[in-house]
Amino acid sequence: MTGSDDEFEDFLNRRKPVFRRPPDEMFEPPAELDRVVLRQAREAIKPPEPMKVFSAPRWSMPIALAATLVLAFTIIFRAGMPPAGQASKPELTVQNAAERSESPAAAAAPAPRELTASRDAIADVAQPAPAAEPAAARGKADSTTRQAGASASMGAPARTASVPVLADPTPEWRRDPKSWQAEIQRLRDAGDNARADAEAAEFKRQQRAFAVSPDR
Amino acid sequence: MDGLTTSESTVRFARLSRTRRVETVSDDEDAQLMLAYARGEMRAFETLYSRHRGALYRYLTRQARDGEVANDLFQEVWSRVIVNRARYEPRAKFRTFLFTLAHNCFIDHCRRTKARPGGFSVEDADDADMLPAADDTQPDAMLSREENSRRYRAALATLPAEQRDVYLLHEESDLSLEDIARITGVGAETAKSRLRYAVAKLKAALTVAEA
Repeated sequence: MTGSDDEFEDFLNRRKPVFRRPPDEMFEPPAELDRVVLRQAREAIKPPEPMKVFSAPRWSMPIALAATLVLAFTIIFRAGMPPAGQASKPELTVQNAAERSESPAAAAAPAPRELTASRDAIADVAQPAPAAEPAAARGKADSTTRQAGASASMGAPARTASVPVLADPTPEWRRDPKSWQAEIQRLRDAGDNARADAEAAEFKRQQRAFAVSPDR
Repeated sequence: MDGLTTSESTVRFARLSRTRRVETVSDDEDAQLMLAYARGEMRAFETLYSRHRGALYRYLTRQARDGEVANDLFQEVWSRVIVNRARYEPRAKFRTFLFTLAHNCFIDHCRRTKARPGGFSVEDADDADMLPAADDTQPDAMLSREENSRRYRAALATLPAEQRDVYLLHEESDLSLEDIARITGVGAETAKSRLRYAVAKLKAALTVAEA
């Protein structure tokens, strides 16, 4: 083994350098590079953040709370109110009854039992009464007619909501004042004074109600 | 910075690098540190990095002879270490694993840039001036040191790529000849022969220059 071989073996086993290496050759990586590598290493082992299923904006919570409260109060308020059908039912007045009696749809409907009864009463009263008691008959007829009119205009709708508004049994000539007066005159001409008086009284009553109605 | 300021990390890594010179670093310890990092311990990686950063950087700088390229390769090597942390098995030394990655990264770089690994000139050696400022600010000492460094780089630049690769691996990685042979993909005798030629040429160049 030559001297150079020994020298190389020493170099290989790091016992002795073959030549002197400049000390400046022992340089290090820049700090910026250290920072980049370490950041990369740190980010690689960072556990993944759990994915949010729903990410709402910050203002959504108070808005949702306010909407819930408004909805709850609305439901409670509505639950405390009467049903819409009852609330919208108009107040019963003589005028309402008269208007209702003038509607043509109501005329086509069948008459209720009460109104039929009152009409029968009128018819009964209109029969020729004994001469001895014309005044009593007239008074009875008036009261009966009044009761019948009242029951026709007030009684039926005011009782309960379950009672349907029935068709008006009013004769056709009652719809027009002129024809009504003509009918009264015809009854008088025919000698049916009691019935003529009853019709005249009813005519006056309805005309009075018509005259005092607030929208006239 | 990630837990450390720039100056703190520089001082710390410089201290650890000096420590590495006196202590014998256990390869088993390196492997354990790598496994610990794979389990998520950042401190283990910092220790590992501080032990090998200087040697790896010098190897890549002397191979690439371009500061920017060396920085890119350095970062790429450590990226591969980080990415492959879960697949790391301590069957070989960590240094062998690290310098194998570095060798392959450099070869890949040469293929990408279509540059011959040995295609350097003596003038290229003067371009690799990214050395830190000297502590000794005496003008004649600075001049002498710079001259020595320049001669060394110039001599290194004249070596064929294979010989320079083997020499740098031997000088910087402290790996055995068998490990160097494994990294470079040649037999141990071939690696030894290359190393012998490289050392002889470097010695001749530096001796002539000094004379």
